[in-house]
Amino acid sequence: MNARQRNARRIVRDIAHARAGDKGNTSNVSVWAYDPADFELLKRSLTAERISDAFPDLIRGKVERYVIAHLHGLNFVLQDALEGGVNGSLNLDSHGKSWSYLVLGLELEERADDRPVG
Amino acid sequence: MWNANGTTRPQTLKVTVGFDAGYQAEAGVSYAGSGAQERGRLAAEIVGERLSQVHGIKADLRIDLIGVSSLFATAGVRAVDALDVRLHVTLRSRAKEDAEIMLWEIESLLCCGPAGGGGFRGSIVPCVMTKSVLVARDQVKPGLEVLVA
Repeated sequence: MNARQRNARRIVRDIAHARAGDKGNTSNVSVWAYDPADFELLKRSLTAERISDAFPDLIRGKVERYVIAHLHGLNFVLQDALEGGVNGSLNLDSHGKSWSYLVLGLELEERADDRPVG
Repeated sequence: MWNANGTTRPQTLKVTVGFDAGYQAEAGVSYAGSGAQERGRLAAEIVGERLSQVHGIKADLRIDLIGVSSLFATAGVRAVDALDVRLHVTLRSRAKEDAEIMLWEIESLLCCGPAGGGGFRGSIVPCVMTKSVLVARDQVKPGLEVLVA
């Protein structure tokens, strides 16, 4: 790790993967820590409010978070978040499959002891 | 909850109802090289202004710049100085004429829009919108009918 990488804030993608799905105008994004040791950091960083506040123009409805602790994952249900849904949205990605990378691009809420050693 | 379990079956059935929503049109033209993002942005402004103010079209319209801001446009995510940009316009209207006008507007950017635009494509397809509703079980009579075009 060089000096620039040490100073740059890490993003969710650095410690987790994600997948998005749709039902009507509801989007569903699940986020999974690669390493169980990072799950607490992931939980702290990705609250329902954080997701909701990050994309106020996209997510018009309520955001709910479900914690799946034994699989080190978080599942977010985003209401009224698909610009009308698969048959109503004029977005090229009308299913919102790319929404997973909106979440993976958010910065982590890191503390000094969250960094990997070395 | 760790094991599979269940309750009584729902009293209603989910039905997806389709509605005729007219036509959905898509069209695009690309810009590349120095100033591509600015030229694409100018093309987007021209199209938006001409469709609404010259043609008076009130249809659902979305104007994206692929390479700058498209899938994440509504979320407010943008590139800074993209060198390969595609203007992509989508319109939905009950009037086919609105769709045809939009395609002509995009194609005409090749000759009288920002410099260096290329690669026009446009398409118009029928549009079906769907809504999910719950229907009482006794209103549903299962049956099968094969329709041949």
